[in-house]
Amino acid sequence: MSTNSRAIPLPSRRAEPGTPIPLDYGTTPGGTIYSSTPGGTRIIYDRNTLLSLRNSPLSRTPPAKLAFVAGVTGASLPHQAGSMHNRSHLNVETHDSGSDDSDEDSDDEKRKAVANAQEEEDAKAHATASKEIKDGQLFDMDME
Amino acid sequence: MAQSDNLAVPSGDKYVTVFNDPVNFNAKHPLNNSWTLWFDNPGKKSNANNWEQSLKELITFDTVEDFWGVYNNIMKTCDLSISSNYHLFKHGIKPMWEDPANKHGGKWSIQLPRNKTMNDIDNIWLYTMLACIGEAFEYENEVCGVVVSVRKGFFRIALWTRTADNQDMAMSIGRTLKKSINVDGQFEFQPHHETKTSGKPWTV
Repeated sequence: MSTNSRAIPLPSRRAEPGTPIPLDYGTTPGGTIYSSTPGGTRIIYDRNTLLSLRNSPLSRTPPAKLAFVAGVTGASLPHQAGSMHNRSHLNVETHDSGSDDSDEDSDDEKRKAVANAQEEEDAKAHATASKEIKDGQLFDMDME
Repeated sequence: MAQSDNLAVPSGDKYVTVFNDPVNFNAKHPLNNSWTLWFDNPGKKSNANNWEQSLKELITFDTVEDFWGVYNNIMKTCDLSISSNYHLFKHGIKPMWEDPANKHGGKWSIQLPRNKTMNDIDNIWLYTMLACIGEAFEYENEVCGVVVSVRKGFFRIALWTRTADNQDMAMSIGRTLKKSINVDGQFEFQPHHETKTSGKPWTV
């Protein structure tokens, strides 16, 4: 996004073998905890962390594949605060509800909405400059 | 670019979350599971045959930001019409007891009087969903999904579990649920298949 980004210095700690692990070892700023359970590592967010992300710019993009249900989703809502100015983000209606969205095009979109929306790539492409963290890098809990 | 030697992030492809830098972030926060949100409103004319047709799969998401993108663009629970339901289930599990993930399980549920809960139901349902996607529950595999139901005199919140015969796991789930959403009242656990006729139902 910005051309002025600079490297963020991250704290690092060295430990001799046998040094006890500090209690905040598995946390990142904001309260995200990666815990090792018998079933493996889980990504855990507490409620406040989730709430703090509510108004991030990455959270405001309406999902491109959100199915249209009259009176329930998307632009049909009476109290939309202007965030749905681009109706092409919506999917075509998924059932004959007599809705007036007859100017929506593309039957392909309709089929995708009804089927299992497995891939989120389109939604991510619409989001502003977003890239998803795949598991591995930041959440590497492989510590001996 | 010189960084600390202990960084696990490749230096040429830096992921920056909003917590590290509130201005120059570029990454969404992944959820431990993918979740699918469903909606249905069978209405008065529903019967076993047409109920499934009324069930609509709205969206599947797997990041925190995408959850909010959905939540910020759907009708709030307090505005839904009578007999509506939202279902938030792990991706791949249908919100029906016949689904293999659900059929041997049960549900924790509570009924909240509509007049007393009208102002709070949106937050109650929101916190229910956040507890799921944030993995608040100790027995991760037990959690199949959650449902909010809008009825004439009350709202119902329910959490569906994978099994129904392990009291320790069920009680752990029930206690966490009650703690997560801060409601007054008693939750009751019912297996989807009511096979045992004796004994009081588990409650928290």
